[in-house]
Amino acid sequence: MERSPVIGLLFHVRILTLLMLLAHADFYFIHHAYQFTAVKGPSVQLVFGFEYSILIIMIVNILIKYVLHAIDSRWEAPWESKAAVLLYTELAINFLKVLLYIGFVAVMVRIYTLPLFAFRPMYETMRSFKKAYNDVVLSRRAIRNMNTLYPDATPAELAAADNECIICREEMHTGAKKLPCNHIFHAACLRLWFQRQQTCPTCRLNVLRAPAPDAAAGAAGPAPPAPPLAGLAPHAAPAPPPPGPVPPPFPNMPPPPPMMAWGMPPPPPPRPASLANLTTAELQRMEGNERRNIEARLQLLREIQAMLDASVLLMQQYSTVVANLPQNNVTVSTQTETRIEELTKESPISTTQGKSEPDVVPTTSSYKQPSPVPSTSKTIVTEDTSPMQPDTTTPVDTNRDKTDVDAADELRRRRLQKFAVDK
Amino acid sequence: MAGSALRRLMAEYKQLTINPPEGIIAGPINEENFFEWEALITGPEGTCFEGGIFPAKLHFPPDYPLSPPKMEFTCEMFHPNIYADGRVCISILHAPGDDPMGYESSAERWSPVQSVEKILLSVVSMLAEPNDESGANVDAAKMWREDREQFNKIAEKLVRKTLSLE
Repeated sequence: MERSPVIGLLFHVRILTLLMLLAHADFYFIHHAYQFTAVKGPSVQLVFGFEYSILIIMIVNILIKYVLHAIDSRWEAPWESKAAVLLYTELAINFLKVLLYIGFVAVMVRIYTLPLFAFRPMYETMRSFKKAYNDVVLSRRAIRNMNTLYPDATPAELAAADNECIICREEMHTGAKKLPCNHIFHAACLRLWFQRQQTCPTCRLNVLRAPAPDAAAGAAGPAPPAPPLAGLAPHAAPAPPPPGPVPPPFPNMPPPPPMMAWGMPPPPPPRPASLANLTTAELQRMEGNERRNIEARLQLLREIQAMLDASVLLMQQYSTVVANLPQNNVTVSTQTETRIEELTKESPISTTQGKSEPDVVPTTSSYKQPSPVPSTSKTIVTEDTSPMQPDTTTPVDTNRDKTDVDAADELRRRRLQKFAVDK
Repeated sequence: MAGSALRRLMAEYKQLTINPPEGIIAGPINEENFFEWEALITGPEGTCFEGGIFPAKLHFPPDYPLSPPKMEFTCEMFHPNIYADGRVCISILHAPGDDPMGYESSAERWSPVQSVEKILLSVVSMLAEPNDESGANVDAAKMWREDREQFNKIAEKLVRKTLSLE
């Protein structure tokens, strides 16, 4: 099989010969230093002997790494534990070095004085030992987390993620793990990466600092009413006509002074009674009515969405009007929601100067009226949405979709508030 | 390990051949050795490197994609983020942890989800917008900042050189 770097036998022979040569020379010098010290007492040979021992440790380190790489490149199958072995080698070698340095300093202090020249390499050795130790600990923790905490990816999730592990670019069938950030990889690929970095390869989330994947567990068991809610999610889609007793907000919109329509959302629809007041028996009875509860909740959501759509439409209408004012023709080119902030800034000009179009002025002026009216609209909106949350959350075994509902609610409520605040 | 690196490189080569990004050609120099690649990058339009075709070499480590490849231009280059010997200094090619210039946030470092295509696209955008904050070629960075006209002249000359017009 083609592969690089193309390493011939000669290369191995040369490397091994060189290493052996160095090791022998080193041994000779250590021996010499030892003999000299043993016969003539401590001298400068002590320092040399110590330096030689450091060198021999380095040679051993290189030899081990070389052997590991050679074995790895000889095998066809990936050797997954090689990185781990390398980490442990690093740790052991650094530990030996630290021991040597400490021993040397102790001996020198006893015989002569403080060996200042040895402090810098000693400090560096200790630092690299600490780093090697941290690497081992962190990678072990990340791999253990992966094996125990992170869920296996389900076939549906695999299909959603193109079924390709982005590390090795191969298909994932089994043994795929899902990280807390919902990215999916081969467990084997992740293990190799975690031995270097404890982050998600895609989003660089630090997996050791990330919270335990509770949310993932919650999402794993989809709640029965989830599908209808999913239909509600895309806000851009035209709203389904709100069924039932909801007064359609659209008829309120077209008239030029839509201020009142804006400020007054349709009356809140009947809500299920607060559960806090119910007795246990009543609560139990209500559990049987789960379906109706959910339906009521869905309906509420639809109403909110309809209201939101209405308000968006209003905003668009408003911006169209502003855009049509002669003074603003240049600046107002698009009518998207993102322009609203600018539009409201421009509205004072339109009110002061746009006298040529009397039917427009009331709209804009009333719209940008700062304090009283928008605040009412805001309060009404919050009244409408926030008390609804306890109602939706209280049914006992519908906690699953609660998060979805609340998230959507929260988003819409914020948008509404933003509209109010922007004025 | 080398086996998985080889498979991934083959997959990337296939992808680049089937669906090549605009202005970029890349592939192994020799199909016996998938760890040495050659790439041709066209200078981005609207910049002083426009029209040039710059050859480069990519060297992949045996533990690719866990470690990033190395890249060097094989033509003469004058650019703040390219060393005088052609090596490319760009954050996507640096593994988190080593930071030759001390400027890069870990968010833009190498990670196994990067690919040859992304590297080359990053290099193209680097040609268009040099980062003179972390100059690999200090002279080029200085000239880029202070004497843009002279820089453009040199770049134009290089472009003509790559096209064998000079």
